[in-house]
Amino acid sequence: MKNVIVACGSGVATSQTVASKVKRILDENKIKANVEAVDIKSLNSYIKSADVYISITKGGKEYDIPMLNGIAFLTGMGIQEETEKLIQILKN
Amino acid sequence: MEFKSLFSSRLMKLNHPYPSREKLFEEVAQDLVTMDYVRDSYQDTLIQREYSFPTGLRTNYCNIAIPHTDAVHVKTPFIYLVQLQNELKFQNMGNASEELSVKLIFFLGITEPKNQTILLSTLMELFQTEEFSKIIFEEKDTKQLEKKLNTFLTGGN
Repeated sequence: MKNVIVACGSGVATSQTVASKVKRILDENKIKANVEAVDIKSLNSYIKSADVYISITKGGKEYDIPMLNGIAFLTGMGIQEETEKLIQILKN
Repeated sequence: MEFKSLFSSRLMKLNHPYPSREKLFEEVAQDLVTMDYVRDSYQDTLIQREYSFPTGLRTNYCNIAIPHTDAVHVKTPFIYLVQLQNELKFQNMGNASEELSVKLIFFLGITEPKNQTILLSTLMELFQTEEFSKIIFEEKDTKQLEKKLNTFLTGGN
């Protein structure tokens, strides 16, 4: 099963909220994947096993896995586009 | 925990002037300490976190900010709403180099991150509707706003 990582500063509010939204979207599209919210300090240890990284803050470190814009899943602005990219990545 | 029960006229400041973000954080934190929603450590960690991880957001109809800090500093879950008289600058959560002018601030008190995503997700979903954004942007009376929000959140029942 593929792994989706969501990271924000604390893992308190934003990444948890985005993770639950992403889980719901994947369920609706009948795609099975693990979705995990982590705080940014522990990102490095999770990223190795991840297939896609949903990032809240711009300008962080670059990783060699696909990155998506987490704010879109939070506010709903641009969510369609990010959802399509996510589904593409997880289907391949 | 029900979302609608979180909006209370006690936890609102409407059409309120704050000269700076620092003053705003300080007064809200002291208010929350007095009402026993947060620990004394809340204020400093809140300010520190906003600095390291900004919380300004663009939504469909207006810019908002959602300052929050680690659950350990919060005793009881809450949403504290501030509608500013004059906009204050907040850095954009998605891009810290961008400043947003913000008039609505929601201080989020979260004690169990995994179980309280409803706080932020419901708030964000509501902000995708013009009706909700308008109510919260324009109402100047806390009792009226509490009533309107409850009506809105319960679908008029």
